[in-house]
Parts: sequence; structure tokens; C-alpha cells
Amino acid sequence: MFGEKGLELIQDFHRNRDGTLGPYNEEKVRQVLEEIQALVEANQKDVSRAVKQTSSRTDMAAIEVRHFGMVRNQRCLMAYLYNRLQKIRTLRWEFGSVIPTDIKSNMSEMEGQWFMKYNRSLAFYMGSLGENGLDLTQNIKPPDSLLIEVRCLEERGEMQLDNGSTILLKKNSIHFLPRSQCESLIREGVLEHIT
Amino acid sequence: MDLLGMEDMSDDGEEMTLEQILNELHRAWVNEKKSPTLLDAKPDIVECVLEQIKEMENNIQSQNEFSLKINIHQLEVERIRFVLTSYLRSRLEKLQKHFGYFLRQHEAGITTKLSIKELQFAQTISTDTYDHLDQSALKHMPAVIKSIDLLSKVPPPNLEKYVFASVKESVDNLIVDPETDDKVADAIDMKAGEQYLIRYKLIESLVDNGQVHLV
Repeated sequence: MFGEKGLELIQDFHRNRDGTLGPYNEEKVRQVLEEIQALVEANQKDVSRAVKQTSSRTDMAAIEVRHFGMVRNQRCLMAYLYNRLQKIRTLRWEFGSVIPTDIKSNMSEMEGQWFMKYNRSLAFYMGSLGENGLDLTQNIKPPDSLLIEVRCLEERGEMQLDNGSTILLKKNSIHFLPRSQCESLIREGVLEHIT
Repeated sequence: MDLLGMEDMSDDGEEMTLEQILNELHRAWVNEKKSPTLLDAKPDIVECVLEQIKEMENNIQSQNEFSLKINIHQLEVERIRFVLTSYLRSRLEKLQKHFGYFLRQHEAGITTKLSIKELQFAQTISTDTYDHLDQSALKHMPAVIKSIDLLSKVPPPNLEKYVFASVKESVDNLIVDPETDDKVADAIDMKAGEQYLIRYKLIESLVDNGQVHLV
């Protein structure tokens, strides 16, 4: 029946909705587009018959059914693409402007381009707030203290702090650092907040 | 010298103390978080608060001793920064989710909801998203369905959501059910200090006026 492949695309997305982005199903998208094309061609034949007034009632019904099939396929495709964009947007707020490569490989080429454009417009907006810009991806949780204790999970070598001093990030070393500088590293997974 | 620098900020000729600005920011923040749609943009308050944060940070930097007082002020600055970023983030989230609705609202003449930068951001998002849909699928489709009206397809905010509201100034004769052939319009009087659980749509304009606060 028409629209089955479109539904499969939606089910694909729905299955992956809780995790990070699933792989872009290029093949199925192509199949849905082909189905749309086939429906249109069949309809064109019937419409030209109708114009010559040699068609019957069943032909008119067939034209309508095919048209609805087309529109449904288009809707499924749009929903699939649009919701993937929403997912990618959430990833930007979670991971920052650099997404890990294994997730990036799940994005299609055009989604990658959209992500770059989104990065740019977001950076432009944040930069326009106040003189030096205001990074909206920081300060996600209300601060309850200035300094927090963190444990380093990966080797990162030396890191310079805002007040000029440097700290050595060795595996399992514990540091007492200002919250604002740790936040992005905690999100990346380099540091771990010890409670 | 008071480190927080209780400066009088001129805001349209009106002198506002730091405390008043922060109260306004706080009120705008709670309202924005609880409301399903965007409230009027408040670029003046955002500007004021950003300037104040900068002043306070400068004041703190210029003090070189490590005292408890400095730490408390630093924490205060961090807290104010959190409220401000949370307010802006909440607005941005709603804008990104329902950009179609807000852009059409703006075109229809209601221009108070989006600041200039937010409008630009929404327009860029709209163009980029349409370009992506076009490149990925629409351009391969036959002419009869080749283009879509993206702005109306993007889901609008749910104005029927129930919210808790606290009345600041009395409101008389708020129409709850519109008049139909069968019955007269059902209206309620809301007195100051009362709290209601009510559909957002009915109090939308009152929240913008400040007559009703969301909790």
C-alpha cells in the first residue's frame, strides 16, 4: 500500500528517539521519493485520459487516492527530516560546537551543513548580547558555590586558568576549581564533579 | 565603597536601583519559564543587567585581597548571570520550537514579542531549515508538491495549557466562555491576591500587562 516506506522512516526515527541521532537512512528516503515519482507519473496518465473525457469514475477515484498517497509520503519525509534537525539542535546544546565523530557519521551531508549554519547563527546571536557576548550554553544549573571539587578522568596535560595559574590535568587527580571554568569540561566528560 | 555599587540606572528617564532591576528580571524569568509562548521582549532589562554584571565584576577584580566579602559578591554575580542566561535560554528554546508561529505573528504586526536579534535569529533558522528540507527532499519531488509553507507547518505553541496565575491587580469581567446561541458569556472577576489555575489563552494579555503573574 502507498505510504508504507514513509511510515517505516518515521518508525526508524521513533525507535532512536531517546538516544542520540540514529544513522540517516538515505536508502529509504530515496525509495519514498521514487514512490512519489511513480504515483505522479501514473496520475499524469490518468489525468490526460480524463481531459480527453475517456475516463470512468474509478479513474477519478484512483487519481485522488494517488494524490493523497503522494501528500502522505511528503508529510512523512518532512517529519523525518525536521525531527532529525531538532535532535541535532539538542546535541549542539549538549556537546557544544564540536560533536563527537561517531555521532557525526550518522548525519547526512546536508545535515552537517545545517549544523554549521546553526552554529554560526547561534554564535552570532550570543555574541550580540552585551559587549563581549554572553555564552548561553554555560550556567545551566544554579550555582551553589564558587569552587567545586573535580576529579580528572582523562589526561589533558596543562590547563591555564583565568587567574593565570596553570594546573596539571592527570588521570584521577583531584582539583578545587572555579565553577565557570569546569563546566564545559564536565560536560565533555574530562572532569567529574565529586559530591 | 559598596562592592555591589548600588547605582541608579536611568531607564527611560526613570531612576531604577539595582534591586528593582533584579526584581524585574526575576519576575520576567519566572513568567517566561511558566508561559507556553513568548512574552514581550525586554531588551532594556537585559541590557541593564548585563551592564550591572560587568560593573560588579570590574569592582571585584579591582579588589586584590581574598576576603569572605569578595566571595559572597562573586557568588552573587554568578547567580545573577544564571538567572539572565536561564531567561534568555528559555526564550530561545520557545523561539526555536515554534519559529513559524512567531514569525507569522511578527509579520501580522505584533512586533513586541521578539527583540531585533531574536527576529534575525528566527529568520535565519527559518531559511536554513527550509533550505535543508528543499535540498534533501523537496527538490526531488514533482512540481505539484514541490514547495511547502514551512511557517504554517511548524507546530505552534499550546496556548490552551493550564497555568497557575497570581493576580496582582484586580481584573473584572474576564470572559471564560464566549457567548454562544445557547448561553450568555461566562465571566469571572479576579481580585488582587487571588490565585487561579486557568487556561493560558485567557490571561495572555494580562500577563504582558503585568496585571497577572505566573507562578
